[in-house]
Amino acid sequence: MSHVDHQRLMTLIDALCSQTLDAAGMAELEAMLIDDAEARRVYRHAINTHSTLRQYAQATSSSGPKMTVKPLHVIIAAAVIVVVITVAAIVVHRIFPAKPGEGAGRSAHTAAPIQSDKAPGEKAEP
Amino acid sequence: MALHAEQSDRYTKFAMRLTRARPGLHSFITTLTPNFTEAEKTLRDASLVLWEQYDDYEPGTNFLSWACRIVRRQVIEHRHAASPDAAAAGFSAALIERLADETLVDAELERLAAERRAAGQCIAKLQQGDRNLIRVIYGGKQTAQAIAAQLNRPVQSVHQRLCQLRRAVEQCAQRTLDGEGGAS
Repeated sequence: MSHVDHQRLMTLIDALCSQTLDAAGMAELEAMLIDDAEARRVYRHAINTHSTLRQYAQATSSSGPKMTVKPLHVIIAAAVIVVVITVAAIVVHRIFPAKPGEGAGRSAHTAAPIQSDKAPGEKAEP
Repeated sequence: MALHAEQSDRYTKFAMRLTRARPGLHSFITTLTPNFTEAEKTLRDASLVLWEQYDDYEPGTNFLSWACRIVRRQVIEHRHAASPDAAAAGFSAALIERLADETLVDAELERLAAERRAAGQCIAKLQQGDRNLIRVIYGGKQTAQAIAAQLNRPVQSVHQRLCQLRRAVEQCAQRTLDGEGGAS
């Protein structure tokens, strides 16, 4: 690069991509680019990548589930709740074991919908 | 009936060419129009403008290059028609012309297209959390402010992470291409 401060140029491009570049910054970026071919090359390739990221996001964010970034304490709290519920279920199951007949009846009822991928008329396993 | 089929076939070919050229057009317009909302609008309008001028396109030539030359005029016309405030928010006509001239060289168009393809592979190598961050913010699902609030961190840290990711993807793409060049 001939006379442009590369670090400053990258900072301005970062701000532009973050859409936080103010009018003064925009004027500074223009001044850096207008007379420096190498600065313009750096800018073009950075924006090319930025454009690729935007298109990737637009193409994938509409098809996938909504993603959220959760803070660590929320994730830990959720994990603790899952563990507590699991332990409680095991304890209850050991103290009050299900009668054999009830268990068999319930599993037969709940198993039926799971076999819905069978073709109509297809016989169930004996 | 035959005329209708011919017109339909013509439109189908146009749509296919436009779809293939879309990533390059998006990059080209974004380069000339640093206001990204305005760039998206220009890209949407470009479909109609290109269809209206499709008679001028010579089959077998570079469609992206042809489309960029038309869109370039569109960007310049918008620049001249814009209010002083809107014009001040963008680049000068002189800078737009220089950026367009340098992009519309065949070798540069090919290099930028190759970088976009390589960048796609590099994005796939990012960690899931980083890809999610890109998707929610660049996809417009949530703002950087909202993500920062969820994380209980300053918004600047979210912007910084996105910039790091953009730089990492760009460097990865360039390394990939330079490696291919060295191997050939």
